[in-house]
Amino acid sequence: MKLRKIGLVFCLAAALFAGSCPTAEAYYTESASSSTYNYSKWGFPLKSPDAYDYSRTVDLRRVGGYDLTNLIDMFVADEYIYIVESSLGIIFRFDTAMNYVDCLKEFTMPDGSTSTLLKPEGMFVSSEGKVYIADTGHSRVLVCDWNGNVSLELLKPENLVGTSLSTFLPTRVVADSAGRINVVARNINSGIMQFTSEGYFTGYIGAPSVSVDPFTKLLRRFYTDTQRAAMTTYVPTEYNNIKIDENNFIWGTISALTESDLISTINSQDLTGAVTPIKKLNMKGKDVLIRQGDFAPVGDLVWASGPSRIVDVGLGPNNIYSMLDNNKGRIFTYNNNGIMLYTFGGKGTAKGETQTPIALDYVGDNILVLDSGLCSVLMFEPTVYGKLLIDAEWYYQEGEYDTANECWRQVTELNSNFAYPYIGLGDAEYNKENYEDAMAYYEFAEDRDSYSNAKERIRKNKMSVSFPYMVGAVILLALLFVGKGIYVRVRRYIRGELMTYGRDEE
Amino acid sequence: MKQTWKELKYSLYVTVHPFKGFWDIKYEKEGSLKTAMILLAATIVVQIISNLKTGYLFGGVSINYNFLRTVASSLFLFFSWCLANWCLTCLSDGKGTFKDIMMFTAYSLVPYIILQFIMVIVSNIFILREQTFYDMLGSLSIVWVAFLLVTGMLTTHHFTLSRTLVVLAFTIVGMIVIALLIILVFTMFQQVVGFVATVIDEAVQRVSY
Repeated sequence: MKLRKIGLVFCLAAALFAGSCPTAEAYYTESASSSTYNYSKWGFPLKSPDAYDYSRTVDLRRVGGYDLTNLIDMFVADEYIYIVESSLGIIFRFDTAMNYVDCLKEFTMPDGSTSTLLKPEGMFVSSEGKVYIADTGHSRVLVCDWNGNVSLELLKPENLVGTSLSTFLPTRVVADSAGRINVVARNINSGIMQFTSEGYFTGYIGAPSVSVDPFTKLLRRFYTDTQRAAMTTYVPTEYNNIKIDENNFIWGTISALTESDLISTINSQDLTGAVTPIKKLNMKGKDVLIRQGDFAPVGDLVWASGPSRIVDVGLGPNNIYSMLDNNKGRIFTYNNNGIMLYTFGGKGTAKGETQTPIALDYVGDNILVLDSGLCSVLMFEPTVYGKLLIDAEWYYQEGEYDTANECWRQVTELNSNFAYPYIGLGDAEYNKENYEDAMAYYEFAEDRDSYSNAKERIRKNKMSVSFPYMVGAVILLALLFVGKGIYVRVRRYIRGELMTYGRDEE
Repeated sequence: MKQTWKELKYSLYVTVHPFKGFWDIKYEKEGSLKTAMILLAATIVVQIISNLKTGYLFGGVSINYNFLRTVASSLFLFFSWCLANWCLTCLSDGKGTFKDIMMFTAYSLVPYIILQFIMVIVSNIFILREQTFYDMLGSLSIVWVAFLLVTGMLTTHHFTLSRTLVVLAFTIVGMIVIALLIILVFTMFQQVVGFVATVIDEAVQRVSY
């Protein structure tokens, strides 16, 4: 009796346990908000060791005697970190350890008058120390030095054609090494406005191309003008943020993407960059971002509550870059080939979680995230795992493949769920002409193309050995058949038979 | 034994001379049910080999492969086809018996056996660039088998082509119906078993407390 009861309890416990066991499906839903993950070849999130550790938060609610409420942009130069406060119209300067240095709020115009900023939204500091400020509220871009001596005031260009722009609302500004000024203005969807260093408007670059499918084009032919006017929603998306790297490539982020477009891009594994939240533009405005991963860099590949809304890109060491997602507070890091290395971060109230992340920048290997909701800057530093991946990029790009392999080997020890280092190891073996080993790595990484290449090399090697034998065998077989045919015919001829036609000769 | 060997050789002849071949199988005693079963077994074996030994580039081996599943699904497809075909051809004045149907179906599978076997070998040699040829072999095997099935049905049942195609379509519908019926029976059986088990369980609990 008692035994039976114990048995029953045991059964119940087992049933409960079975019920509470995480099912296989749970693995494919979104990971916990701030844990690090990556995406598998098939687009499922896979947990990964933490690549970055939260180190500290710098509270910016009161800096230098000012009450800061509306932080809007952050810019990291070599020695200083600049943060734009929009409500006060003041630019604060910090050193790289985020200690307050000084601020800039008054400007001396070229004609001697003084001026202040009204709701500025973006700023940039060139390597010569020139400060570029998108003074949105005053519809102008100011170029000055850190003492506030304005050398150029960029107003709404007169030669602006083909746009019904009433007010010029510059939000972001960058300048390249030649002094050309690139401006992103609100409500301008023709691309990035480009000005010469003297402030002449020269045109737009990087206008996102608009593609209309042929069927819609056909439909439009039969529409009335009213209908046509109602459906002219084919406006290109506008950039929300731009950065410039040392090679004068402009990195623009776009958040106005429709969910359906993103889903189709992800599902079709479209790597053309037709729908993309990030672009790397060359001087001519052509998108040259490399997309060699299984999926284009678009942030999250699966989501429950909306796709990633990319608001900023941070250009990190060794040509890696990180995109900041304003929707879930994630930070997606890719290498220069567009392969996702790790994703971390999340929204919340725990340490290291953000409320309204709006800007991301690298200081060395460390990541700084500006959070306007918390009115603070969060700092993250790489873990051993993250550092290995960053270093591997460096060694690989420098051609030190052995060292890179050592890094990747260590990465695989920490995370065997990550295909990319295995491909690296496979490439190394391939370059050493160890094709069999390379194939094993490629198979592990599910990289069929590389596997196929390695196999081709093996086949070629084998073929060069065995080809003469194969040809010999074929010739021998052919001779046998021909010989048999001749023999049969000769025998028939000798016997004086006619060439009868049939299956059974007997 | 010798007879079986001869019949197996004849099955090759059927693949390239289907009209005469299928006629001979039925009326000239050139084929037998035993040979047909050997061919069916060969198909299943080749299918298992294909699942296990296809090169990584063209599918590879799934980790949790169970060959019994292949056996079951192949047998189910074969017999449900034969059954559905028999049911329908009986209704539409077909001249073939169930044995004839099994024979022509099994003999039709010969190209599949040969080409799948070649494909397994070739998949371990080919690289991705030659995938087109690999896919072509696969399509060829399917088309050839379909062609043989049509001609086999035509000859065995003395049908016209149009009637053959109609019956073929209905045969596929019939196969689906058979599958549904089996699932239904299984589900109901499960329910009954579950019910009885619950009743016994309940009774045991009542008695023991």
